[in-house]
Amino acid sequence: MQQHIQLEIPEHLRHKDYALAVRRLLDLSYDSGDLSLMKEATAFSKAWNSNLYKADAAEPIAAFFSTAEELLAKATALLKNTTSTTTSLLQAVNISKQYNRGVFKLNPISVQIASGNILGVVGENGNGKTTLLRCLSGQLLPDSGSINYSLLQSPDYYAIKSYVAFIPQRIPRWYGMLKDNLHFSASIAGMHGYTNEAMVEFMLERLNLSSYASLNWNQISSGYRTRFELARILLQKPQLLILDEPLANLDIKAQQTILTDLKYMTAWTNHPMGIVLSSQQLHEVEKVADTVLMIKNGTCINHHTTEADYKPERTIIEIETTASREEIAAALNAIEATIHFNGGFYTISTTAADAQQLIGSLITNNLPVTYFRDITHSTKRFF
Amino acid sequence: MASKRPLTLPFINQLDRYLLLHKPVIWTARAHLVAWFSFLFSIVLALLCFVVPDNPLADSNSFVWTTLTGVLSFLGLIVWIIYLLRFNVFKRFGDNGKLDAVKNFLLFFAVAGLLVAPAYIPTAIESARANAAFSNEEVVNDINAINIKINQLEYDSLNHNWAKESYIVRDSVSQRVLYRQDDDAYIDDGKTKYIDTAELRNKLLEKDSVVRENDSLYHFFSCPKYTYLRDQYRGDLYAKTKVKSDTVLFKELIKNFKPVNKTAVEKELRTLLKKYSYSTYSYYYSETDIYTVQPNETYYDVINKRYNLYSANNGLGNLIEKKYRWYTENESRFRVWFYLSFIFALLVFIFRHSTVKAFLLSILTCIVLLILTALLLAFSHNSNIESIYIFCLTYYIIFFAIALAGNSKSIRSSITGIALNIVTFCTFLVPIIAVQLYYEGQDKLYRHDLNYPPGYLETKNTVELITEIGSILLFLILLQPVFKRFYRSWFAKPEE
Repeated sequence: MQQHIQLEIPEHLRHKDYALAVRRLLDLSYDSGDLSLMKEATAFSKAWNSNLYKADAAEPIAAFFSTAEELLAKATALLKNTTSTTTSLLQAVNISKQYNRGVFKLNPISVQIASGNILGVVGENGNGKTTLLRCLSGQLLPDSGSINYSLLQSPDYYAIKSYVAFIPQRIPRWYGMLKDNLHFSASIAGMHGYTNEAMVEFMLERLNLSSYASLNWNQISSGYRTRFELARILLQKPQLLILDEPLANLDIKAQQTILTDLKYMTAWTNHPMGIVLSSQQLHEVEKVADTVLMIKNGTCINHHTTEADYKPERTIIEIETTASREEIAAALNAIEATIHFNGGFYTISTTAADAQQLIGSLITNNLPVTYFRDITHSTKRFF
Repeated sequence: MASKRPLTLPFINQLDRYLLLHKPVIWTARAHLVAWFSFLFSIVLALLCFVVPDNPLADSNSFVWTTLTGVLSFLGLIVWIIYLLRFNVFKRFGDNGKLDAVKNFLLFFAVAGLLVAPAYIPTAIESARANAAFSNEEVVNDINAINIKINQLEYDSLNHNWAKESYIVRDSVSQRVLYRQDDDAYIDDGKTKYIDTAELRNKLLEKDSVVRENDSLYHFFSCPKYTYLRDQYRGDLYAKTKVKSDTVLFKELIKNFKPVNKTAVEKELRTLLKKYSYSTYSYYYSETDIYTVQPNETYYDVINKRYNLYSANNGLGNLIEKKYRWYTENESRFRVWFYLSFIFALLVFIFRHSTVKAFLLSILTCIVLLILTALLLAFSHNSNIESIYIFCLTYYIIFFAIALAGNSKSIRSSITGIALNIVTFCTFLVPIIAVQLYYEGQDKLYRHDLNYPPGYLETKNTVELITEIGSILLFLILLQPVFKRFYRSWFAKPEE
């Protein structure tokens, strides 16, 4: 993975994706585990965000590139002999839960999570996503089944809760200055003095929170609250991070940023971790998750890795077009397909053609397609 | 990082920063801030007590100040508890040191001690002001001067007859009629008074004069009263000069009395009395009681009224009380401070390790148990202290069993939390109650005739003191391996 980042950063620079290059340099410095390099990368990122490298021109000044190359070279030297391994973090077998009051029941579900992986849990409201996540994090005791936290030997719940970090949808409020909370979290995780300051500065910069650090809870939006909570949790270095609806209340750009960050963070070799996140944003979750688990009425109806182990019987696409259903049917005349209209989209399903052929037929017949997505592998097909 | 915290100095902010980065357990206890604000409060309180007009001869109003300070200290505790909700190492599942619970508790205790301590400031300032206004020697000299001048002015009306008491001394006296008056013990068969040799020793020390008529018959003589101020002998406890007793005044003044210029002496006396006079309205005494001389009153009462010694006694009593209160009862004061601080610290510790719900339910449970116990005692017409002790121990055993049983369960229940809170709070009381229960039984054997075995009371006091110290040590010893472990296990469990 480090090799991958080291190759990736020059590419970002060449394609003028400077902001991403800076973030990846921060990741690389973190992977190196060298505190002074992290300080340098943090300072570099701060300078970039303060427009110190831009001067008046659109392009960054030469110092930006030289510093980036210097940081890259230092990190490369430090990461020469580092390898990343995937470790199993959690295996839950047939866990189920029924509340004393109410009729909802989470039927037996089995999941496993490894370091470096993201497990996405999707489903509609009230179907059991949060219950499953709370069981995995030790917040609720399952009625049946077993959960094995692979890296813990005969753990008690205190050890489990240090091992697993759970970020609920409604994050409990923080008191006092946001930055103090981060210093405190780092401090109780064993980072003191210089290390504490360096790590907090790094995490603030990595999650692009530096300019909000001196504010308090009431002065930031819910999206930033999620990011601050994420920074706090990351400073405590859990093995497994569980997030309940982290994308709720976020705009689309913030959703993409946080998901990308999560994807990158699971790959940190300095502290690899697994992530479980629940959401109703199917597309976004599927983009980053290694495994997607769909829950409907408390039952897992789909559990597979998105690319490898699912062999679809039908091809399903969704399109957005101004054409009528009849015009679409006419365009697909040669292909036996069912067409459903759902919330502005047409969902086309067939066993007779693949996605390329379907969209090809539509375009050949001059239908104005403004949006197309192949959902053959997506949990969206269950909706 | 500039702090916006009001009323703090830069060094407090620097300390806060240092603790945040290096000692999160201390930082999160906010102990340094509570200590700082307690210090500020103490300074303001002390200044206020100095600024408020105060007459050293007036009745002490320290009770009002102490009550006010106590209420403010309690509010401070509440504010501190609310602040403690903010950051919690324990509940954030962070690193826990091996002795964190003990260190935290001692920190809470020290800070609670600082919260409680200001309650003593008003009385301390009052005493300081009284001592500044009147020196120890000055008070004694003035008492002596007043007594002498009254005797000089009233020599003609004084009683110069010494009271005489005669006793026959025997090796032991049989039990017929036993009189106990001012620690005198004698047997009176209606004709002669008999005392034993032990009582003889007492009388030889106490009485002003004695004549031994033969081996067994003794005549004791008591000097008439030549001293007139009520609290005078408390006035010389901590002075080099001593208040002259009746006998000394007799020897120095009355025996070889020389007439004086009464006008000049009276003027000086009035000046001295005015110096110590402080009149307060009292429903005990009417104007007639204090000032008007009634027929058939003794020379002593007449003198009291003639020179308005009521006011001087009142002022002098208040002054002496204020000056010397810190020389006595310091053990009681320490106990009040210690136990209040200890209980405050316990409450904070429990609040910090429990959930808000379990904490409040624990208080409610205690109140309900208190009411139930009171009703049970009332209906059973049994209100002796032993029953209360037995109830307390029974409750403790029940809650201990519940806490122990809850520890083996896999979920966090409120009932276990309540039991754990109550057991944590009451553990230090159990040895004290057990010892009190034992001695209550023992005391019953001797209390009716006060005939305690030799050394019994001393042993009892020593055992009680050792128990007090031991119970605190026991609590501290159990804090980390038992209470912290139980709380940690309980809090981390999945919710009910």
